[in-house]
Amino acid sequence: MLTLRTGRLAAWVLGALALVFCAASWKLGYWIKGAPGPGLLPLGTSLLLAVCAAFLVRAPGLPDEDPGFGKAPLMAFALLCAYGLSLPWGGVVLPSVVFGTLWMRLLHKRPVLASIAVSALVSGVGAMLFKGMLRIPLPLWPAIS
Amino acid sequence: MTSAIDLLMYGFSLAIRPENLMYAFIGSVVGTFVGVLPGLGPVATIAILLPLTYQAGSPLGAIIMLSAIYYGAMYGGSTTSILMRLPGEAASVITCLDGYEMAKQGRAGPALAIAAIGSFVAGTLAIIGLSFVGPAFARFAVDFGPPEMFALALLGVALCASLSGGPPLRGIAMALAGILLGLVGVDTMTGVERLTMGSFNLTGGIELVPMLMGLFGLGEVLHNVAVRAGAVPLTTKIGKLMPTRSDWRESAPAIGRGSLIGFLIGLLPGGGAILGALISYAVEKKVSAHPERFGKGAIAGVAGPESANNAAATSSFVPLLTLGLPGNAVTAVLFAGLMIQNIQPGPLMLVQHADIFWGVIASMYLGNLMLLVLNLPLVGLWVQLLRVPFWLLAPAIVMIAVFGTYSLRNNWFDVGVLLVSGGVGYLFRAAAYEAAPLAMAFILADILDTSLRQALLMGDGGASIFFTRPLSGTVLAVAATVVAVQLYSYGRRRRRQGA
Repeated sequence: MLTLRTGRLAAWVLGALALVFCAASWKLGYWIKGAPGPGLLPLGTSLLLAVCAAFLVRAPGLPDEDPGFGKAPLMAFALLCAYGLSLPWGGVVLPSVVFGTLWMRLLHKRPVLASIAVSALVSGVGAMLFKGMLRIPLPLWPAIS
Repeated sequence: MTSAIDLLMYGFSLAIRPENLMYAFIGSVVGTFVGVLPGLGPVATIAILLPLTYQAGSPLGAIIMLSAIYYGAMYGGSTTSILMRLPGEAASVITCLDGYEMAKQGRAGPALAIAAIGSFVAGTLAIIGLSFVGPAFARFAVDFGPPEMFALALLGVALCASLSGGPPLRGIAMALAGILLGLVGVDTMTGVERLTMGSFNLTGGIELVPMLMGLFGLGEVLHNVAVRAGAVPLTTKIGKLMPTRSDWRESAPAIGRGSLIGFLIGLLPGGGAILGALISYAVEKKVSAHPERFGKGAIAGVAGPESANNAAATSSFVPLLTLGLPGNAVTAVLFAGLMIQNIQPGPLMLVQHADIFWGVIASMYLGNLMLLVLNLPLVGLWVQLLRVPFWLLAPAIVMIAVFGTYSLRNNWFDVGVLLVSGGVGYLFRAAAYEAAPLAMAFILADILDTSLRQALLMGDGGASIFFTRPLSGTVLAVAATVVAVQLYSYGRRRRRQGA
């Protein structure tokens, strides 16, 4: 368990977003040639958000906040990222089968063969639905150039 | 009035022709399917199917089918929102709050049944309104200038912030973050790239659907991995399908209010199903004798928004058909569908294409009836999804979300947005920050920005224009009051608890 107060981390994330967007909207200009510029609303909003985030960072935690991040969701998120990164070059079928197998095996301790079979079935049905029925040009297999 | 009835009857005589009934049926089934399927929302589907409308026998058949996909998706969107906290389309986001909580308590059946019945009643009432009083409402709404639109959108954001169950400051912060993220992309007024951080992929803005699917769908999947005792959401007992007497007592007024709110909001340019559902939820929470139950499985929190989003989906046809003004993304795509058929939407459509206008309106009524007949018996089938074990369902949800996201624009960047939003959604879920205000403010950001700047230009740079016009002044005062009351009452509660 990664013990980090989740509420405080969320407030820091919001604060960082406010600061980055504040700088970017300042550069855009909030008032140009006597007219409101493209930076007006983002600047005002990011300043307000920065103030809110400052209060939230100092605010006490809530009882329904998770006390930290467990190993399982972090592993699941890592799997998601690896899956997302593999899709553009691997097509959808193989990465989906590998992703599903690893998910079932690592996170739910399912038997290896059953995980492979179920993942292959789910991936196949999904690909058939989108590619075959809905005619979405999903790249099924790795692009060979 | 008599003439409207005669014209509506004429519309029915066209809508009940076998080929038009078939198009309404196909559209309703495809729409429900699309609404249930996370990711492939009505906009994407109607856009994908637009070229196929050439093959429809008549322009009326084509428009009937496209319209049926739209309101069918509104029906279907509630199913995955309730069962899996995955909004099938954006307007169902609000349904997640209480619908999913009901499912967790083993009351998915009544939630789905009330959503279907509420949608039918609201759709029917909205069609009646559309036939008789729609054009008059549309004329009134179109008189709104930028100050009124800004005030209305700001009220929407204020209501979003007050929606979050926790401290209002958290809701306000999330809404502000939503506005910022919604402003990313090319500025429509100057053509300048805004807040894109130099990324070419962000020039068109952050795609709404992948972001929502990530925040709500994948965030929930990751959260379930964290609490995967298996007890929680997706494997709970269903309970009986039909609502209890007390459910009906709670839901009936909510359906009535939701229908009216949705109908009025749908008439506004830029309004629509999402804003209708949002305002309906806030109203239900305010008028309820037990507001503390909202967010924890209040059936009125399902009945009101579901009715409102269907009523708004129907009434958004008013500005489209009578004024040629598409009020939202779906009606913009439908506008293109009409143009493909050489039909110019606008005031003259009532004269030049009365068959299309009244035929589509009548077909909506029949389509709503078909949806009720289709959806209620199938509720049990959808509910069976709850019995699928989480170890199987989770990777399937991820895959469908990924495939659906890719299908929006055939773009892997959107899949990246989905996954990043999933991580952010999990963080906020774990930290007890509600994601709904962020999502709703994201949608309203563009209206806020454009109308603010147009209004300031109208007022020669002065902000007094917002307060000298009665409607915008009143709406802004209401928005300020909502925020102030929320902050004050939360502060008072905290002080009492501390004392």
